[in-house]
Amino acid sequence: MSHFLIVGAALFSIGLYTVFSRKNAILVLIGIEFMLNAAILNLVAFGRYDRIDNEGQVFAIFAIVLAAATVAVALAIIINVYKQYKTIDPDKIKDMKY
Amino acid sequence: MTSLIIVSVLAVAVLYLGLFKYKTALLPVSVTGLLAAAAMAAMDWDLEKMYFSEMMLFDNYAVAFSILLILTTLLIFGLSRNYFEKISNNVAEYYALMLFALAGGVVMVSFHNLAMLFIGIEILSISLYVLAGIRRKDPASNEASLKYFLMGAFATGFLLFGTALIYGATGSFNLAAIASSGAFESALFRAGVLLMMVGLSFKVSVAPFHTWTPDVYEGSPGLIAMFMATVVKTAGFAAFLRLFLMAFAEASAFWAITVAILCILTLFAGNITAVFQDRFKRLLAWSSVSHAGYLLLAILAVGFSASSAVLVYTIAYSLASVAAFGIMILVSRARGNDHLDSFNGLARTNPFLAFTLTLAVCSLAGIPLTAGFFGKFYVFKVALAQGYTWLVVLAVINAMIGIYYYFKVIIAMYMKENANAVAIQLNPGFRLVLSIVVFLIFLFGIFPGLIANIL
Amino acid sequence: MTAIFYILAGIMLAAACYVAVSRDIARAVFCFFGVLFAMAGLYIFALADFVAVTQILVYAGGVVVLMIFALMLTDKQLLENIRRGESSGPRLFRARALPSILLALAVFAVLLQVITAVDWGNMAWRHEAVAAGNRITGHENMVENVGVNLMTRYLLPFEVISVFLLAALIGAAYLARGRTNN
Repeated sequence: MSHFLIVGAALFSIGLYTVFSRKNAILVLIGIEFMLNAAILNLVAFGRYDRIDNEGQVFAIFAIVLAAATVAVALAIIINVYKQYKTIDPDKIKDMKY
Repeated sequence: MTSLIIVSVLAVAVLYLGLFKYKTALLPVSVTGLLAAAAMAAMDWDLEKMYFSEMMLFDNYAVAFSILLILTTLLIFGLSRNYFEKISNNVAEYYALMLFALAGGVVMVSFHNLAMLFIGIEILSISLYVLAGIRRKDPASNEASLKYFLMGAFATGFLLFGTALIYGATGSFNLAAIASSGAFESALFRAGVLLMMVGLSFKVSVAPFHTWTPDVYEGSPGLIAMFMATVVKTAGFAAFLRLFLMAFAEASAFWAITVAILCILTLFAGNITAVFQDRFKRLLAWSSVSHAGYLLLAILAVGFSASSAVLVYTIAYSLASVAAFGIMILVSRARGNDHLDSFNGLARTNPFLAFTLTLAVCSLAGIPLTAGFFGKFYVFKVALAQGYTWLVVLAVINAMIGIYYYFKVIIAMYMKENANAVAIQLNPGFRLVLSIVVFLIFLFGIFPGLIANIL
Repeated sequence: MTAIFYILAGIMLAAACYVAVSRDIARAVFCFFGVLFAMAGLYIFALADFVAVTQILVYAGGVVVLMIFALMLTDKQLLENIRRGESSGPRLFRARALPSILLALAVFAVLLQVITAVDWGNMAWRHEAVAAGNRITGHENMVENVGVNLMTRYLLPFEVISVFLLAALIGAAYLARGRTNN
């Protein structure tokens, strides 16, 4: 049991690191996916103790579906940004400071 | 529940209207549908119905906040005539996405299971990621969309991880089951609460997770920023409070100190930065951060007085924000930008707009005789009742800082002159919505009992 | 059996680390694919076969392909390094990455602390579940059970997710639609 959680915690931290250190919006997105996957692993691990209602497993399926649909929208946004700025480095996209 | 179905079906219906090019029918149909949804929500009053194996609970809390969300959306739709047409030819999508976001908001205020909370937040967020970037040719809008998305998805990661840990500690996603599980001492539960708090703080822009707010508000189209400041913030706080009230109330000794720290950080970050803004939209964005701080005060005082205080505060804040953002849109459209200097001489050219904006910022600042005063009053009252005197003192200091920067715009309108200012034309929708808002701000400012005793 | 679990977990974490530090974006995305696949294996170890299949179909099959498309559209140089057979090894330590490393390590330490502090043998709801025979042993047909649950107990979230998917579909279609020149 705790092995699943330790793996999940490690993946969560790696995701956190990826989000903060990468300079490419798509890699930041991958970091976020790591965090979501870590959470899903936890849900599934706890879900072993719910054979009848499958709360953990069903929530995990919902989370996978939601994350996948979000990625579709995200990539549409990223491509739009690329068309405008010719870069997808979130730090370089600083048009706001007038 | 019926109102949720109506809102979702309405969104699909609006899409079909767009498909068959009935553009003029979009607004009347949406308004009628929203009125019907609000009426159906009101029918659920005092019924306390559970739906689908305790997934949602339409208690009075849910009904009151659903109606507030629906009516605020209605006000925003009233301003949106001829607004979206200027952005693109495909108007139906705006209405549909805003209605989808509203459906997410309704789910967020009525969930009784963490699964519904998660799905509700995701529906609201994904619609807003798109709405923020709806001006596809405008770089600022694209940037706002990307930033909002990255921050929002990041917050979702925290929220989901926290949910998973709470499930691990209590064995259920059901709010009542979590509250009665007695696992509040376990480290797993505490870590889960903290992670969920971080996730929700991102969504309602509580410091130190607020950094996205000004850029996103500024880059998004004005009406969408208005939607974020009113509907999204109300739904976010209603969900925040509902979660902590119904599931984590027993463990309040543990999380209260964290919320208090977040509250102080948010108040000072929002108010002090707002002082240095010279563009009205950014000023409103920072002030919306500070309002999140006042609302956190109410969350500290778990209990029904807290929900009532949050309801009064969000009503007052939503009304004032609709007026402030609406006039910001008019002024920046007529005079090219939303710099505070653009408001110079507004009192001479458009006395009605100047009066409305004065009233709105007074309400935001919490001046007596406006609804905002009682919003702050009730929030401070419930915090004092819980013994957070030092926090309330800090909050009052912040309210004074708030008065300073809100009055900058009043001074610009009344004291400064602008020789070549011309009167701004108002369309009937704007005139109607602003009149309603003025009336309601006065009404609730003079008779606060009308809304204070609902819950 | 446990050995396979550790091998999978090791592969997964190693690939994730590579994604986090690699300089070559294309290789990083392919490693991301590896992470997702290994995760599916871990789900099977948690006796959630349906979730594992969903993971492979939706994540490994859909999301990764989408990401590769997006990368190819935004980065023309993407596959150049691989074609030239260059190995631009990961740069492990960069001074500006230090705060992120410390933050990630701190979060990991806290989570580890939390996990080790939990008394797994003594959790009330797990005891009840085991006593009631509510534990998944790996011999029962879980897919059928999950399917029935989705259509009965979780019908409302299932339907509300359709609203979400519709919103995502419209949003993505709106944003990605070809430009009409004014």
